[in-house]
Amino acid sequence: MSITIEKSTSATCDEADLSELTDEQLLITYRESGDRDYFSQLVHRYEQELYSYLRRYLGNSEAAEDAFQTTFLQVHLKCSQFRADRKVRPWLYTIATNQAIDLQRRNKRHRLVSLNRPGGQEGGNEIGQLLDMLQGNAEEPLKVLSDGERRDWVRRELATLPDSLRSVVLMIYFQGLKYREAAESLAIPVGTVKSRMHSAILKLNDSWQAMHPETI
Amino acid sequence: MRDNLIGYLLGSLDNAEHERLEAELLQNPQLQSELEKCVESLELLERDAQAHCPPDGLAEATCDHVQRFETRSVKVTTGG
Repeated sequence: MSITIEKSTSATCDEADLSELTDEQLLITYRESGDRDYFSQLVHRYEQELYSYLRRYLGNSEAAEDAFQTTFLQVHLKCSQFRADRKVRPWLYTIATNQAIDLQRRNKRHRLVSLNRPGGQEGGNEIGQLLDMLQGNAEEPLKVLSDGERRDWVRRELATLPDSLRSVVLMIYFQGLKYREAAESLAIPVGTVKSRMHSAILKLNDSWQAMHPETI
Repeated sequence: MRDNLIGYLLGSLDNAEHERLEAELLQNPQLQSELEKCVESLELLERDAQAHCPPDGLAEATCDHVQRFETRSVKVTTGG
């Protein structure tokens, strides 16, 4: 990436003008001019949408903030690779998803290192409790759940789905991407997006039925 | 056909796919049963449908982060 970021000093394109440009126009103009007003407009445009995606994907706000920042750093570094015949939105989701996966891997390595450290009896109990929690509440008495508890259950279940299924559910259902946009983001055929979405939804249904057969 | 059930519920099928699926649903009880499961699951997901709000100033902080990175890169490149 060799472009130089410059603060625009000309009045040729004020904020109102920028908001009328397409994502593709913003990115390509930024790439060609280095004018960071265009980049900033793109970051602001996707602030809510991509943060929300990453927050769901990663399950905590701090990690989502980190991934959001590294996503746009990659956009800056890789904008020369963006093909003018592509759409920016799926390209951003590709980068954001890769950043989220990288962050999860780094955190997993960090957690493994922490768990491998010698600990006393107290630490062992904590790990035991953690494993109990991770293994779910299969033996917990069935109960009628409040809306908040259902929401928490959904979040936990989504977190247990494989990345390949979870990313499809997040993109299609929560982010409102079209099938072809999700397919482009994940570099898979549209038919695969559909079948993964179907599998994920049925898995959720099976889990719910197994734990709360009387509540659905 | 079953892989189109979610798209049917989310309204994302094209007209031809939509019509084919509806015709199949009328005569396929197993597909109807799967459709019900999909409806139930989407109702579950709806409990968490509200988008997460970013912290104040995330976009500005991100632009600053990129700017700082670029400035550091230039210093390293030029030995400054």
